[in-house]
Amino acid sequence: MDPERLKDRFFAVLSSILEIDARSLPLDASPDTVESWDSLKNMYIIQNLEEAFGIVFTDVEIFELASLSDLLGAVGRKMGGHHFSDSAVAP
Amino acid sequence: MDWRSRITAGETYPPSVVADGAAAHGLADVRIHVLRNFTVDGIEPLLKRQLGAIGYFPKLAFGGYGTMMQDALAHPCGLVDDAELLLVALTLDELDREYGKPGWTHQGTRDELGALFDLLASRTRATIVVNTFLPPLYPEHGLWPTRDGSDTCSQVAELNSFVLGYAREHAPQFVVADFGRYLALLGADAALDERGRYLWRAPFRQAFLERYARDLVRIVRVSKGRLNKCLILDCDNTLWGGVVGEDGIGGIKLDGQEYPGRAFYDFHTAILGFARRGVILALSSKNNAADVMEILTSHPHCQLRPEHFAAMKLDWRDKATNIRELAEELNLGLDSFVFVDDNPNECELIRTMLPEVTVLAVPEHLHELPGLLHRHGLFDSAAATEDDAQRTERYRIERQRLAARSTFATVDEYLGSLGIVATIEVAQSSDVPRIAQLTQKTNQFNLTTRRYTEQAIRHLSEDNNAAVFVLSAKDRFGSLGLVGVMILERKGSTAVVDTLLLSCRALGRNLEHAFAGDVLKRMGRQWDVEAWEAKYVPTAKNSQVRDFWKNLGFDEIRREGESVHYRCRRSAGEFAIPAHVSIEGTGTWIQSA
Repeated sequence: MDPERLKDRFFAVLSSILEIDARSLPLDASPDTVESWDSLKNMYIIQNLEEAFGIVFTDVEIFELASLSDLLGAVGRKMGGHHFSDSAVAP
Repeated sequence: MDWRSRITAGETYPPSVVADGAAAHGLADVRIHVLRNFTVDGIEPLLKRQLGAIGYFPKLAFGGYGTMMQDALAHPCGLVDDAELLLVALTLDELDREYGKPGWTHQGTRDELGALFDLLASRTRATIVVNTFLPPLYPEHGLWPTRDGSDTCSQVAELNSFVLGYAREHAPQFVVADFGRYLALLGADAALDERGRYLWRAPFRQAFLERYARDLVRIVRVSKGRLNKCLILDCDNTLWGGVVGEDGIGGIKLDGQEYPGRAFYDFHTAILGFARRGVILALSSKNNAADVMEILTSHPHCQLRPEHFAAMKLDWRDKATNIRELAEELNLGLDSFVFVDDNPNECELIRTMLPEVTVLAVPEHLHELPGLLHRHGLFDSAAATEDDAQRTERYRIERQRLAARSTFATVDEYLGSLGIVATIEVAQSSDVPRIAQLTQKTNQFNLTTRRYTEQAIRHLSEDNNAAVFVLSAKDRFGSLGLVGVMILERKGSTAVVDTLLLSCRALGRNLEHAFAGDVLKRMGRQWDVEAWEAKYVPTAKNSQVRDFWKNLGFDEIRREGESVHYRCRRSAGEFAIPAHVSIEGTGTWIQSA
């Protein structure tokens, strides 16, 4: 999957779950900084990213996925080694 | 947009419905409150979508994790007190920390559950949905059962039979969502999420929650009185294989030992089961009547007999006309009809002409036919009462009455010939299920359309300032059963009519005037009130009773919204009992208070 389509799908999942435009969030956005990102939504994010991309996060990954950039990085790795630098995900 | 429904269901839910809430979209709110010990929140979008399809918008509220008892004991507790549907969603491993450990038995949990259920039953009149528990998929004791039943699987089975028994004793307030059934339908891989259970206390996948939601929708439908009452069947290739007019009675497929005959034979079995639970059967089929009657009376494998049908339309007219006539003859709303036909054109005609009717096509694969009517719970009702089993019989007697009617010159003459006897009595506890059922189901002759549970009726009949009366009727053709309910409340020096309803099968006999007049006079005397008050609350179905109170001699005193309030001074209340009705039961009405 090319990086742009991957990001489109990634942000679509996050936006619909968090009910905000996720592309406007800073990369270090996390449950601590986004009001609508509670633990329930965190669960939905994991489940829906797995479903949308056909991937499975390991337990360790789930524990360590703390921020938006963690999530995007993990999805990119599992989807074929995309490494997203800060500039690559800037809106 | 509601993201969860989009992602989990692959369908879009109208975004503005979520944003604006129900009222703007013509959906009626239904308050579904949840006491739980696991993450069941994912059910919300599923309920929104499924309930939206039948005209409701769920307002959900969730209790804390594992705080069911605290939630139930809090005063006041909106979560319990204001619920219309109270979902008690529990898993065993969260409920009992000892669960699964060596030597675990179910008794402690059983006692805890019993206390919780008792408390909830005393706190709310909502319908309470409890669930069964899933035994371990891989029994720890191996394949041979333990002699003393101490293994976990046996213990869970005992706990489940406690839950089922409790619900049975407290039906219809309690109803069971059978988690074991969802698991059986889906298989463990699709139903269960072990990682989710450990990580988020979310042990069930969306597919499982979707089954759960489906059952809740069925429960909401019943508790809102949205019941199907009549099954209309086509004949050729619906009740038997083949066309009797061409294949002859010997050529049709209905043999219970052959396929496809067995599929039709089993379909008969299913239909008879519904008839026994009170569903009215009718035929609408383009056939020579004699051919059909020959099969129904003499085919060796035909389980359905003429007496099972309340009405038959065996002719060559269009079925929309026939079904409209059936609705009139049976005095039922078209929205309580389910129609089954194998011909796509007939199905389409009814869908187009009579959109209120639920239309089911005979499945392409005949092995699906026997289960066709069960799958969607189309004929769900809260409790089958004894009265249900005799309903078709009563409609058949009604047809004889109608036939007799044509020989009389006037309606009065006809009514006089019926020898109608009305029995009017204070409700006994054995009447309670039927009373609650009537308040749930009666739409046409219902002045206030207040829906009551059995428990609520029981409360009212024990209240010294309330009186619950029932009307039973019979005539020379047979008994109509318990057909009327009237509930009065004493407010100071006034007796207020809370409920007055008559089953549609009792209409057209002027029983309503005899019933209302008799009860008003009796309670007026007993309570020594100055006046009676009553109201008419209009619904989509009850316009026929709009002027009932006026006709009885009441005066309009005010209007509140759509409702019209009436009053009648006791000194002015001379309610004449119609000449053709004689009243019994006057000896039993005095309350022991």
